[in-house]
Amino acid sequence: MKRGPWFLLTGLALGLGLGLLCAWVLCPVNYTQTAPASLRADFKETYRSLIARAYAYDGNLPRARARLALLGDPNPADALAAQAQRALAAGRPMAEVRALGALAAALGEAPTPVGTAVTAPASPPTATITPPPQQTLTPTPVLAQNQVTLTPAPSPVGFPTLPPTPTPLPTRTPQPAPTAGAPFLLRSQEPYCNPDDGPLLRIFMRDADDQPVPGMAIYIHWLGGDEEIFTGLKPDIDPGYADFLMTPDVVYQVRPAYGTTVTDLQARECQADDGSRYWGGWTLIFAQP
Amino acid sequence: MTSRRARWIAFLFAIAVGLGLGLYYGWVVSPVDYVDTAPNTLRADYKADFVLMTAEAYQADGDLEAARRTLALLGEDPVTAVQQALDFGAEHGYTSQDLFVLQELLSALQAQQPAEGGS
Repeated sequence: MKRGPWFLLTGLALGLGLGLLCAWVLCPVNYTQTAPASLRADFKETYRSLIARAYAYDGNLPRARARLALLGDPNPADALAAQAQRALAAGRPMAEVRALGALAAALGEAPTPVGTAVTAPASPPTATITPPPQQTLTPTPVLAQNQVTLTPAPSPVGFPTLPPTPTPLPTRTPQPAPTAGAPFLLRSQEPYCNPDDGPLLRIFMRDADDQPVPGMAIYIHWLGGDEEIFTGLKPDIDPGYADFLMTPDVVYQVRPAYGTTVTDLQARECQADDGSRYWGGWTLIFAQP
Repeated sequence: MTSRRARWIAFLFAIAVGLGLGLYYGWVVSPVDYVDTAPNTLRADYKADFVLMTAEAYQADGDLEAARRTLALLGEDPVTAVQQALDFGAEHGYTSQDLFVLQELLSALQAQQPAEGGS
């Protein structure tokens, strides 16, 4: 009796099963040398927070940008701003929220250099660590804070700390100091009507040079509650912007951390083109004289 | 008899081929996808930068406990992690300022250790 080639197929199937068992279960590819982009979402948040807090210390925007690139976020500024809002809602330390907001704002303000070395180098496919070539470590011209560099060559390895530190001495680079100078005064208060936004309180902070001020705390108080919000968490709108959704028929007071108080703010009715009515808000602009 | 032996050889050969195909598929074509890794799996240079960022954050806020918690994510003793980052930094040309903040964090951690041990 002819048995046919079934024994071959059986052997093949057995071998295939053993191979997959080994490859997936017993001895899978071991990723012990991973890159930050592969981190779990919560660890990415930790990493992002560290980048922001490190930036709060050294003020080195190219380095912060290079580090953020390692996480592979499509839009790092948006990711930072969103995380700042989550951190604020979760009651995380204000220093962390401010750091995230300030970095988001700084990224929003500064143009993204195209083809620069400060973008993160691609991680090599091999797991070996190759020391970075010496030329990437030689001093390059000192960069002013927020200045965009276009010259250094990318490192061939995923070495994320190469952008030169602009200050040779271990001195602390000050964070944006929105409270320096004269107090913020209300420059304008305009009704804001947008049916998509509802009773939104929009606040813009400007310094004496009419530049946006990120990282500025603003206190909102109403009968039975209060909240602290920060500018800079929505850099896509404006680095000096913050907003708050009001509840109709509640009276609010708004006060920048260093400035004058605006009282008797309430949601106001707006009229659409078709005659229908909806809740609208206010746009406040505070500025230093 | 010879036919039986040949069949066994072919059978074992088929297993070997299948094993090879399985390993190729599992390791190359569709390897286990580690998309949700933890910081302790980071490559050494990323780990060193992670420690450096922690040291910079410590310089900014002075919160040693926060720094210790962050370093714990690397799965090592914080003092060891900072020491390794210092060694890596010295070997790979970190700036003097980077080495300084790492050294500061190391000193702070080491200063806290005897106090903890004594309490």
